[in-house]
Amino acid sequence: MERKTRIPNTRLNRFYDEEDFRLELDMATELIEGDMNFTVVLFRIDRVNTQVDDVYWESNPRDIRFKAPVELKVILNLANGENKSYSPNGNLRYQDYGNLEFTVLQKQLDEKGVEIGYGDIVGYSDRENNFKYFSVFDDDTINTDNPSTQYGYSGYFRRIKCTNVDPNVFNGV
Amino acid sequence: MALPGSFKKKINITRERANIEYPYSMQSGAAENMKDMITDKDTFLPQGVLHIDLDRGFKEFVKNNLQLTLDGQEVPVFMMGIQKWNEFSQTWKFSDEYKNVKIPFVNIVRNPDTKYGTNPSLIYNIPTGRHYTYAEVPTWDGNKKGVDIYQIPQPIPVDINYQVRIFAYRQEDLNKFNSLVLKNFQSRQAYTIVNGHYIPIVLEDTSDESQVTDLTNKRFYIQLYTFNLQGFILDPNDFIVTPAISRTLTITENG
Repeated sequence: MERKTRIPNTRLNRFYDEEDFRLELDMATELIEGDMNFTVVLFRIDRVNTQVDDVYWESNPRDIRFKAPVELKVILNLANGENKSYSPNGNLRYQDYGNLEFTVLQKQLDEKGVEIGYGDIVGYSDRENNFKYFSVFDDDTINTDNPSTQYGYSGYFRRIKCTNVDPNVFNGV
Repeated sequence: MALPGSFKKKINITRERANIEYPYSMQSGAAENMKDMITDKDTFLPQGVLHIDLDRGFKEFVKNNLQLTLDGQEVPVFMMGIQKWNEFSQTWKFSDEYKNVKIPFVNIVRNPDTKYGTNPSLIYNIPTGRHYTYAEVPTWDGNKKGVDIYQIPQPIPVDINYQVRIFAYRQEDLNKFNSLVLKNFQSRQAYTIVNGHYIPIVLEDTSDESQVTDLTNKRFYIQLYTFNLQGFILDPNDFIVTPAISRTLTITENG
């Protein structure tokens, strides 16, 4: 296994350190998990046990296996739905969900021992009797850009972007 | 005595090749060998060819004939559908810590549309899609000796276009891949074997999509090769096996 050199984080060391960072992380946790309490459910695709064909590597919904679903507390933003037509002459109109974007603390993912990957499925109950599935198209793996850090000290959240997925592709539980 | 139905639902899959009669055109030399290939490990009928078989054949062709090796490592070849999650299933062995696939690699994109074929040996068909006798297989039901007629339809010619891109950081890598392609296509076309059938592939075009002029971004070479696979569709569901006439009774009346 590749051994990585660890470099101590001494950025902002005159007025900010790991203790401050953890305090702010706790406050963010309280805001997200205590006050806001928006929940999404992460379905991580089991890429080993899912049945795919040998050419296109495609599978039917019934052949997709996923690991145990995990609840995540997030800050989410559900965009306006699409209002389009399938046919080029304007027939066969459809309206569908817009993209789902949410912010989740890296600390929460680490505590739950989960990783969000490209193509994983996220479920969100927008109404009491409805559960809509979305597919991750940006898992924000590299979250050390300036907006994702606190004063540039360290990355602490991931901004996950998802697009709605048809039940014919994934229909969950 | 029960009369035979017009279609036979159950056929004998036990091989008794010595007694099979194939049409005269298939009884000599290379044709005989090809007939053996396309009926291998199956019934007396040829193996069918569907779209997915042609795609598999092309993928195997790229993997086997255009396999590039750099510094002792085989350059991976990817071909995938549009389901997002399955990308990593194929690329994980060749990915970095951010799950990005590492350059160099070869990617096959199949154009989703399938056009009517241009293979000259297939496009001039007798209309109405009639079936043709492929083999006459002797039968014996314990009392009566007979023959089953195996018929297949005229295959439908199809053209499928593929885009094969090589992604590389060095011109030398492109050169090696290019010479592999040119060696395979020096006679204009190369062949892949799909279920025992020889299917021609034609190199249509070569172009360059390299991202080298934008100095503010990662720079790497992309070279595009466009191939046209001139295949055919032979659907096994369209095969017909019927019992031939095994006994004829002639009655004459004398006045």
